Order: sequence, then structure tokens, then C-alpha cells
Amino acid sequence: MSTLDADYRNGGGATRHAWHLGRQIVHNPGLTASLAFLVLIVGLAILAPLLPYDAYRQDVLHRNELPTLQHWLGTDELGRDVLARIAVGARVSLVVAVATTLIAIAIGVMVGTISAYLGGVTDSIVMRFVDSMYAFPETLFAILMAALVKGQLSGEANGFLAPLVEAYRLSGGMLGVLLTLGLTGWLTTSRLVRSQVLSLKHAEYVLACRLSGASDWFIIRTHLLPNTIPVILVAVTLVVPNAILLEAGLSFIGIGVDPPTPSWGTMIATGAQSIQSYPHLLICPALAIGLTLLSLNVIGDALRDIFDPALAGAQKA
Amino acid sequence: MLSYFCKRLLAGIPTLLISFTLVFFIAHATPGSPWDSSSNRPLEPAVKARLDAKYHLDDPLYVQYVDYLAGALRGDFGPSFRDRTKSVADIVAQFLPVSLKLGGAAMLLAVLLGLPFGALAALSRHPAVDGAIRVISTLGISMPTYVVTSILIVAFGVGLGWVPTFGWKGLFSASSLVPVFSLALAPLAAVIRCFRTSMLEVMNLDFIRTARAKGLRPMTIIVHHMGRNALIPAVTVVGAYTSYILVGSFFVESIAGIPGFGRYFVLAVAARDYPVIIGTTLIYALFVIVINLIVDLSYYLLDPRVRTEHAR
Repeated sequence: MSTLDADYRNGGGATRHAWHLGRQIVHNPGLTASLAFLVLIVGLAILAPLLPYDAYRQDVLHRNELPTLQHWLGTDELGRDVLARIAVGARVSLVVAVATTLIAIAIGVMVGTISAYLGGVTDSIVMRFVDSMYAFPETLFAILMAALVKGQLSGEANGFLAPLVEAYRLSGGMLGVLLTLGLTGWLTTSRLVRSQVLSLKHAEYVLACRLSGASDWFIIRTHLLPNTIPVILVAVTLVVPNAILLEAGLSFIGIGVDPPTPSWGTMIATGAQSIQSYPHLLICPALAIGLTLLSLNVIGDALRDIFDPALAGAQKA
Repeated sequence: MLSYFCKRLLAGIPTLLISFTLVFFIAHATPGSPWDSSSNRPLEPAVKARLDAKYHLDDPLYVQYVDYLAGALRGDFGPSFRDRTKSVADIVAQFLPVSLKLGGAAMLLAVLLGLPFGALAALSRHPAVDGAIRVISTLGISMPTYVVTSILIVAFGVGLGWVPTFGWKGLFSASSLVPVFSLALAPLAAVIRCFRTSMLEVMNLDFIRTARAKGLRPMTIIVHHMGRNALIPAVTVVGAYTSYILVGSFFVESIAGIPGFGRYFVLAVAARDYPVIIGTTLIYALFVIVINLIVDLSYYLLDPRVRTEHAR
């Protein structure tokens, strides 16, 4: 068992990491501000139903209002409260981010581990495929996949897709987005995990384990997967902001979340149409997503400093 | 040189073929026929069958695949389904130049501003300069194109009234300022970051000390000795951000109302215009591969070490 592994088991590593993070928060005002903003956005998303205005209720007498004491961020072209819509939009973004990350990490870890562990022809074929996918602009691929997934799920319910179609309808199109992004976002994870497993698979303790008659699955489960956790955390810091970015991008183009479900991307797209008269309709959602991504990147940088795979490798030696 | 060039060129072919196959089958698995959106009334089945026959949509899928591939190799992507008077090639010829000017200007701006700022960040020991440059590069890397465009248009177009908020009057007019800068921000941030790091690495090497000791002017040392050595990582950024600029043009052109290829693609996806979608995607993939090829070849010109390695 590696020292790193031991660190994780006895909690020594976790305490050290937490201490390191704590020290960074005190000394880095950018990180503190980012954490504070993220707490605000998550709080807004959770408390969305408690806000005084409903994100879907239209009010024709109060359309396109600038921010007032009643409507802190004004109202949109149908008289809906912008703050309430940003709060529900935050829910959409966060749900998509979490679900996408789970799907993408699961696929990435599976592909990366299997490819590295089996090696040989399997590894070559899988990695050649991953390489050529890398040459393809990711957003372009996500747009194509979104058109496909949306087309398949938004029609009539038939056959084995029926439950998915129902879930798609209930989620206001969110299911389509997170399937699309989950299916396109695993490339980086698979590469990171693969290189980590490759470096571990010839380690002496793995060899010893195999000699003592352990099965492949046992070795993967007890030795290889736990050691990929730092790499997976690094992958998460990359996948989460990317998912939020792409969700808003797809919704902007009109193949993401279906209206009337609010998404920051859709709000930006409709806001852009009345930019001259009502710029707040564009600026509010743009700032919401811009600051969220900025915060996530700052936090991601700090986490990557802590969980950097190269550093983790150095600790092991 | 020639064999290196050919090897790199051939390596791009499988990538293009995989891209083509993937795009072709995804586009065809997407439900909804191109004839759906042309009118509110559904087409007569007989008319639909005639249309399908005219555009060979009733052939088996593998026949369509081979036909289309053969056409694509001759540069013929067929007629657009949405705008039936035009072929995909016409549409490309009509809309691509605007996007190319926009994207080319953005990339040029990123490099021309990024190199001096990156060098300044490396050479200046002043914490304010270093801090300002770190803020710019973090902002540039985190902020999505559509957010940057939105904020700049509201600030400079609506608020200050310096630039128009919508439309395109050519590259050398006020209407291009915001679109070009919003596309350039992310690659600019990356060039600054990258060039700063590589300048810092080169700075303390022995040959720089020698150059200083023999009394060369500081500017000569920075440009010829340090700059040239630090340039290669920065050139890589140009290759890596080409697809970023291509995709960014979807959003920038849509928000700023620029009649380019990016905006056309967004409309084509919504209308399921298969030939346009496949044609665009392939052209974009080809473009990215060619740019990366040029970047690879520029290593050959910039770095004598690469040359000797391949001469052997």
C-alpha cells in the first residue's frame, strides 16, 4: 500500500489538505470572495421557492421594469421577476453541473481505468479515438449531440425511450442537456485517470497483490481506484465550470433547456434582443454566469494546487 | 522539410474521416425532416417522397454516406435544404469571409498585444504590473465569450454610445471593435500567461548572461535572444485557441448581429439543414487541422533544434 493511500485511510492527508486550504483562504482575498459568491449562488438556488416572486408568473402591467425596491433586478419582457428567474436559473446550472460531472467522471474513470489496465490493442484503439475527439471542437460536438438528444427525446413517447421522454418533459429539457454534456465531457477525465493508472499498474504492491492471487477487479477496486481520487478531484474542478459554460451556451443557441424554464443562457439570448432599451435584462444573467465561472475557476486553481497529480506523485516517492 | 510536411498532412486524414463519419451519422440519427419547418401545413406524402428522391434521402444510409463523401472530396456538399437556391459552397463563400476577418483580426490582436504584455509581466518586478496582468488573464480565461460581448456592448454601445450595438460595417469600422476584442480576450490571456512563463524560464539561462556581459543593448537581448526562445510555447496557444475563436463566433455574431458563418450555423442547426451542418463541421475540423499543421511547421522554422532532429 502506498503512503498516499495510507494518508487517505488514516486521515492524515485530509487534515493536512484542510489546513492548507484554510491557510489559503485567510491569505487570499480572491479565494475568499469566490467562496462567498458561490455560497450566495448556491443559497439562492436552494431558497428559490421562498423568494416573494414566482419565476414563471407573468405580469403584463409591469413589463421590462428597471430594478426597483419591489423587483431588485427588474422584470423581463413578460413581467417576470428577474431575480427569481436568476435563482431558478442557478438551480438549472447547478443541477446540470452536478449531474453532468457524475456522468462524465463515471464514464471517464471507467474508460481510463479499463484502457490503462488492459493495455495493448484496447488501449491503442480507445486512446486513438479520444485523440481524434480532441481535435474536434468540443462546443461544436455538444451542439450536434444536443440536437440529436433533443430530437430523440422531445417527440412522442415510444418503445424503450418512453420513460426518458417523460423525464425529459418533466425536467423542462434539462435531461437532454445533462445527457449531452455527460456524453461529451469525459475525455479529459479519461486521459488523466489513464495516465495515473498506467503509472501505478506496475507498482510493486500491485504485483505482490496479483501474485497472492487477487482478481483484476479486486486490484482495481482496492488499489488503483482509490489512488485515482486526487486526479478525479482535479478533473472535477475542470468539468464543473465547463458544464455550466456549455449549458448556458446550448440554451443560448436554443437547443438547451426548453422555455419557459429559465436558464442563464436563454436569458442572455433574449436580453440581447432588447439591449438598447433594457440592458439590465442582458447584464444580470451575464454577470451571474460570469462571476460564477470566475469563482469556480479561482477555487479550482486553489484545489488543483493542493491535489495536483504531480504533487501527489512526489508525496508517494 | 518536405517529408515532415507530408507526414503531418497524412496524419490529419484519419482525424478528418472520423469527424466526417461521426457528424454524418449524428446528423442523420437526429429526428425531424428538413421539410418539416418550411410550412405550417404538413407536406403531402407524395410530395415528400418526391423531395426525398430528388435529394437521395430515400437511398440506404451507406449509399448516402459514400455519395456524400465522394462529393465532399470534390468540394461539393450539395444544396442547402433550407435555402434551396443555394449550394453549401455558395453559403460558405458568402458567409465565411466575414467570420474569417473577424477571427483573424482577433487572433492577430491576441498575439500582438499578448507578446509585449507577457514580456512586460516577466521583466517587470513591480507587483502592481504582475497583479494587473494576473487579473486580466484570470478574467480572460474564466469569462465566456457571450458574457464578455454582452458586457462590452452594454458598456460601450448602450452606456457610452461609442460603438454601434448591432450590425457589421466591415472590419475597419467601429462596429468591429467589440466583437474582435471579445473574441480576442481568452487567447490574449493565454498568450500573456504562456509567454510570461517561458520568458521567466529563459531569463536566467547562461547565454542571456553572456549576451549581457558582451554589452548588447537590452532591447536586442529581449527581442532576439529571449523572445525568440520563448516564442514556441506562445505559438502553441494560437493553435489551441483556433477552435475557441471559431466556436466563439457563434455567440459573438449572434449577439452583435454580424452576418457571418457562426450565426448561419446556429440557424442551420435549428432548421436541421444536414448538408450545411455537415459541411460547416467538416470545414471547421479541416480548418483546425490546417492551423495546427501550420503551427507545427512554424516550430520547424522557429526552432533550429526541431530542424536538426528531423534532418537526421
